[in-house]
Amino acid sequence: MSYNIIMKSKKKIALIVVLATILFGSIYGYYMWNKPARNVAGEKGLEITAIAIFDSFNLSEQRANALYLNKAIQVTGEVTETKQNQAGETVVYLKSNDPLFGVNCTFKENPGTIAKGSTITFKGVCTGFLSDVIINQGIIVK
Amino acid sequence: MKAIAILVCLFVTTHVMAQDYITRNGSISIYSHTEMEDIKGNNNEVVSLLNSTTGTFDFKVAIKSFHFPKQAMEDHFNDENYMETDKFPKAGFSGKITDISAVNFAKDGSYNVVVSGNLTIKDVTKPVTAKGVITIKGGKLNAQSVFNVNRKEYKIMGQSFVQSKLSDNIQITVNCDFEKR
Repeated sequence: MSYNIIMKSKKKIALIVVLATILFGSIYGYYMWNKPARNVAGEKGLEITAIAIFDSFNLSEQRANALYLNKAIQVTGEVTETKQNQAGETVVYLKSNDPLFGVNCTFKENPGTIAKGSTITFKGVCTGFLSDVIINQGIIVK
Repeated sequence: MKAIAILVCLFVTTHVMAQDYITRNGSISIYSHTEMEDIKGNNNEVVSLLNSTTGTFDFKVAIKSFHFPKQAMEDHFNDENYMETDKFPKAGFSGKITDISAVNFAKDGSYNVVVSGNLTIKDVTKPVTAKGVITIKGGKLNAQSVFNVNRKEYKIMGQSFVQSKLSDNIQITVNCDFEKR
């Protein structure tokens, strides 16, 4: 008799555990699926100059990838050109020691007018080195 | 004197003709369609060089520059089951326009071309041939192409539970505005 009661309550507990797991699992899954996009504004950026980060990638791409890839980077440099990319986002190229390429910064929101030749500080996510060092989803710091 | 003038002319013409076109912010999008889900990612930081004399055509793509409507898709795309971007941050294409003489770079218009070369994704290199359109307008150049790649040929396997949501054939759309270098 008592054995039956214990078995019943055990079954009940097991059922509750299963239901709770499903419930919290679904909430977690829903949260993960609707996780907001990464926002560098709330992250502390690694501070570096455009010349230094370009040289670092140029010297050893593998080493620079380990240091900067997917990190929030706060880069300071001289603007050589501004333009809009094909998605309408503002792009700023920062000067490096290379005659052709530099640091390619894409803003996630329109930063307003940025003058060619001015020095700016931009914070964004480094996605790698092509011919430029690529930093995107960024914001203007200064 | 006349001979020198002709030589100079020849040199200038060949120099002008041997024009390189470049983009540092070209666009490539990827698209997977299944009954269950459509997935689309965009990349606006593609580097490409086109030599209008030889027809050589090269692309370099930072895979982490692909962005998706949902962060969760982006996280999956980058993780070890898919693009493994910490290990393979770049993809590239190196090839040529096989019928470059069909394009008159000095004359505005749209020209159908065939591009053939090697596509490297996750260190796997396979030959790819795709049709494309080159449009010349006021000295600027736009290149467009749509082609499919089988992701499994490039070791992009994915977990078993997503197979029904992710097509084996991924549609790649190239749309790049070039400037003269």
